[in-house]
Amino acid sequence: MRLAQVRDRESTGPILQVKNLHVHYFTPDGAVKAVSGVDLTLNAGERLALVGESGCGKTTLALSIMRLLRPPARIVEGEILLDGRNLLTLNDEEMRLSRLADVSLVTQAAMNALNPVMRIEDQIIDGLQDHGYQWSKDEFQEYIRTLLANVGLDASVARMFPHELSGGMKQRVGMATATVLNPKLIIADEPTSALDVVVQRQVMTTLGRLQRETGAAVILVGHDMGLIAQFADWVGVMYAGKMVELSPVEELVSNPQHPYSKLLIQSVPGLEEKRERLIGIPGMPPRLLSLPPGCLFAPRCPSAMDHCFRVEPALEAVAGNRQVACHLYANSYFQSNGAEVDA
Amino acid sequence: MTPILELRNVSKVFGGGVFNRKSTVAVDDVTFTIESDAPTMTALAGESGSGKTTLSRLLLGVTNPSVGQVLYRGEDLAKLKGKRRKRFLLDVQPIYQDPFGVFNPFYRADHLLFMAVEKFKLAKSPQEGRRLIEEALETVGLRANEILGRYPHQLSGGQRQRVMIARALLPQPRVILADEPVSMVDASLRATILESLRALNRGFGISILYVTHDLTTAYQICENIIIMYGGSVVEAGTVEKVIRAPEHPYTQLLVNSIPRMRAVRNWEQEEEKGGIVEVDGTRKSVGCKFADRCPAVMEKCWTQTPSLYRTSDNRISRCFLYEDHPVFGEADVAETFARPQLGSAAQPQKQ
Repeated sequence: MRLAQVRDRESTGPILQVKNLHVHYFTPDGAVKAVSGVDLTLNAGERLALVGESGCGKTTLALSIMRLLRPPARIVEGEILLDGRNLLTLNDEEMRLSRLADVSLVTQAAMNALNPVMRIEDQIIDGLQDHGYQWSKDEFQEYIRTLLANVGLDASVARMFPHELSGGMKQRVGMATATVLNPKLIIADEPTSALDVVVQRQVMTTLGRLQRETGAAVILVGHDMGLIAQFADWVGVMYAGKMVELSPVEELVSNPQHPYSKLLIQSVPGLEEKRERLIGIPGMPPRLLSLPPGCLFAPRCPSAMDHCFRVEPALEAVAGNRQVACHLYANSYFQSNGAEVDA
Repeated sequence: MTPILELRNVSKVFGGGVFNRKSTVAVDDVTFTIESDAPTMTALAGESGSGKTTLSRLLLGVTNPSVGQVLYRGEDLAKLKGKRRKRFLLDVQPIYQDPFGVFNPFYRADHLLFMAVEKFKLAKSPQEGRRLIEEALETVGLRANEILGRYPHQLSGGQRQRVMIARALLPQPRVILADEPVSMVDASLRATILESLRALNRGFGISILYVTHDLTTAYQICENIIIMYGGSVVEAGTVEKVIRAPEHPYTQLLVNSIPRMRAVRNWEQEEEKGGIVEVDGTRKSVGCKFADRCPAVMEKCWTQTPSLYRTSDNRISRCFLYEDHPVFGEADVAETFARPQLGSAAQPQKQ
């Protein structure tokens, strides 16, 4: 998987490599296969968005990279290499120090992530001290002022308690905290889903500016295609724990390839024209307890073929730097059947 | 014809007395009617704290106004008793935001459908009640055998929300107040839920007030829209005018903040050109409530409160930028709306 050549940057090596990741939730009814065999490569400074319906595994994938999954969830197979180092072989203390320093998380509800009885600056200093920074109080405060300025907040916020801040301000504090040690990768899990549209825009442009200034790679988890189009370079469309399409954002929006991506894009209402009918995606995602053979989207797919119910399509490269897991685009299948690829 | 629901110069103040400086004015002098003879789909939009939910709670009669009156078929809602009140409870139905919180997890999901039939005495026999429920479920695109007998956790968020719409449909209401019905549902499921709402409006002639912060869906399913800010109506009219060509600076800000899928990376390009005006915390406005965030703010905005101006047919805006237009004042906001179903006699009056 090559996500390179999209933007020019100094360091070009992959910052994150996820190889054949499988995550299961072990429930009394059996193992729920939340992530099944995802491969992913992200270069420094790239922005990848993970999109899909609730329960498609996008948050589980993001939390696996942070190694923040809790029982009954467990990574059963695979490798996660951050800058060449396999996170899954680190011990708990090494991983704890790696969070914030190498990879950090901006959560959905930053309002709940802050300690209500600590001033903002003390919470940030806490993280710094924990990672071995022994500065003077003045040095810490000076640094925190810069951090807050980076996310567009006034220096007075440092002395405030979380309840004195609005939702958007708290989310920006969350971002300032996430970038405190200049991590190589920032994971933002639906960072604006609890915010108003105007605030959402401010928060997302702040995240974009931080990304440009720090050069970190960002994984944005979301389900709002509009928001993703405003932020990401690449979009990974997930369905039932698998990556079904990986594509540059412009191309996904203007010309989705996988039938699921097509329906997903179609279901987004726009302001361009007023539609007689709003189009949804019929049916429901499969239960992840026992996965049927073949393509998991086949039962809901408008262009499903007999073949789809038997053989699972692999994620394969198609034209234009994209990857699709669908038999419609699988060259081998069409060559053997003599059909034309309609792309 | 008496409107079915009417807000007459209604204000709602939380905390303190009306003239207490520390009180919060959630709804500020709103006059608005919902007709029942011409079913409408109206959106009520604005950010958190703009008063849109308080307004819908006033219309439901669960909150009483501090100033002004809420009227149901010409009678004061707060004083309704007996049969008239029961008729109101049938006529006006709510749909709430959270499809997870309204269900009791220990009861089957259909419990609240059967309760509605029982309490409102909608059916003469259990068989008839079941038939009504099955019909209501079918109307919102659910198959009865998929829902009846299941527990809430066995249904998806979209299914639960449609069960709530089916419940609202059971008493054959004239008005449905839907408060953010899709904000907690997956984007791909929103379309089906909004389609069910539209089907109720078209198929059953039910007027729908769609309370939302999502202007895109409001544009898609509604004819008219009211934009609220700080408890006041700041702009209202047909969705084509208000959303496609917003006049009030706040509406412009809202429309500009809609993440557009087709305009890839537009926000960051715009940010380089200046972006959004941050709140001016240095000055407190006693005039226009939007003055401290307004990119077009003028000196008089800080001290004087703008009136609503009728800038064209089917549109009013509360902004001094339009003060050379006729004053609309605090008249019925619904007067500006386009009502295609109505006869010519009830067309919006031209000034």
